[in-house]
Amino acid sequence: MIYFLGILINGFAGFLLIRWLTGARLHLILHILLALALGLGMAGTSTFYMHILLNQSNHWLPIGLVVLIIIILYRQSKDVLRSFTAFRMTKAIALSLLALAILAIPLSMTAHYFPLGGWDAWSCWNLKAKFIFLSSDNWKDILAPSFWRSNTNYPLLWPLINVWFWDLGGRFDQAIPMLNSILIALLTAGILIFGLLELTGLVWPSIALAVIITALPFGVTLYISQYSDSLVGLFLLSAFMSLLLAEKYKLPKLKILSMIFLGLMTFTKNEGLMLGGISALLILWHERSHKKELKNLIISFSLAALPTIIFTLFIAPKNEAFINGLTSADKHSTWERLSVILAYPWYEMISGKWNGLWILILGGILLAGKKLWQSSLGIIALSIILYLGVVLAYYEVNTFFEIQWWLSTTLSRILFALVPTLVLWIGLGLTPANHPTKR
Amino acid sequence: MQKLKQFFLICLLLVAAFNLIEAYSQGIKQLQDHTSVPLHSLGFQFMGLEQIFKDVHTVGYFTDKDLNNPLAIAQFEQAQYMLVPTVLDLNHTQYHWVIFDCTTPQVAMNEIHKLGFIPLKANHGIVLALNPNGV
Repeated sequence: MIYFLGILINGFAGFLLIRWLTGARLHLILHILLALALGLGMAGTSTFYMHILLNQSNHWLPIGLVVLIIIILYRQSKDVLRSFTAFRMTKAIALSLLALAILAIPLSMTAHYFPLGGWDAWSCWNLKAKFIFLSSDNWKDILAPSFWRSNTNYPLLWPLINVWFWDLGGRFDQAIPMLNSILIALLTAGILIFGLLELTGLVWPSIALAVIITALPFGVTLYISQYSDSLVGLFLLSAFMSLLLAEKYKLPKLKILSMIFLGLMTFTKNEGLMLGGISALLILWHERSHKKELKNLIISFSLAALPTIIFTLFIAPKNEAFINGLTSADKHSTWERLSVILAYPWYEMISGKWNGLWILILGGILLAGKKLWQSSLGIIALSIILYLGVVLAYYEVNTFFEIQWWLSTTLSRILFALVPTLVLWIGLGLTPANHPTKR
Repeated sequence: MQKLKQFFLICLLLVAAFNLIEAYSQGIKQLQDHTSVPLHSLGFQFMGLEQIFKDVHTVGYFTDKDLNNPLAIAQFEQAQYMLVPTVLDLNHTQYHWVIFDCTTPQVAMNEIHKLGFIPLKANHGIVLALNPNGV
């Protein structure tokens, strides 16, 4: 019960922030879904600031900070209830909500089977969360070298989101990361369905695309593994969805929301930092002719990414799992390693666990043609391509791990985080121009 | 091109339906599976120790298992997860409390006696021992 109160508080804070940016012009359900995603980021961020300011756990201040944001934003808003009273249920909305309900069932069943999540949940993400929550003033000990297995240099947003909920409940509860992992999966599916519905007006293709990725059994397992990758996927999708909606509704302030999501994404994990940075730079480049907007976009990204900047510059220990293969005499980068890196992704993509998803994606790319490479859709494509290029380069340069093992344990998760945005990209590329791809 | 797109849409719907059926059968199978203990439940045998370790900063964790074996390292990491904020120091025994997670309980008892520790509590092959000279 307390969990749903937490969702309500966070979601309301996110709702008011989006309303402040856009007025009540966004579709109510999409507004709520984006607000819930934003609310999770706000919760994690407020927990981070309170730990930094006080250098210890305080159960009430992170909650208080979100409530304070609500009070400030509420005073700025007029007639908040208007969004709700103006809402009309349609057949398309009902079908989409039904699809989300149907998706929630297998997610919940598998989550129940793995209450502790996957390996990295208990060895990394939830370990950090539990340590930070229970350890009071020595919370930074979780970054000590003895915890090197938990990737001590990784950003803390996902653990801190869970800490926020434990703060609210006043106790550690394993169900919180489990419920949050289900929520993240459903938010991703929901934003995809309702976003595509807004942008294309097509119900069944929107539902089918969301179902394909959310009900993929391998995807279900990854979602309920309680890893930060699903948060990367949610924020990336939310960022590009906000950008596309900003263009469709001529709401430049939604681009600010897009940059906030990318800023938050930088605090999820190092891959999120890379992807967030690349996407933000490309959006800024895309918006280069709008000098007035540009300043606001840079400020909003920087503010949302401030926890990452503080953490990276002043708190994060050095990466213990890094050997520079370009300079190392013992473990240098080799051509053999490079050939494995270049070949492995193809085997990964045709692997049975994806149920042919990558073949569908390839088919979609071929069918959609050049539309995918123009304007804002082109920015999505470029972000993903550049990011994958950086990831592959990192696999080559960092020779700490044996490459075959490293690729087999991490690449699928990296690809998984990209899939919701890839599906949005292809979905829009295949539909007739109901949305403005040209500015 | 339009026909190709229609064919593509049919493929999308079929794959979506297939994935949904698979996801449901995976979930039902997991719900009915009471026999196997997933890898993810290794740490449950350490439950309860957190009551003993209240306010203890670090305890030792001794194992004779091959740490290249994923199961052995998983067991250690799950123990750490169960017992945080107490830190487990892997294969260091200078602490007041030391957890012995050995290949057999007999090996654990031999090690405990060799080191002059006092065995206090055992649970599924995990033995908690007290080091009288520990820090």
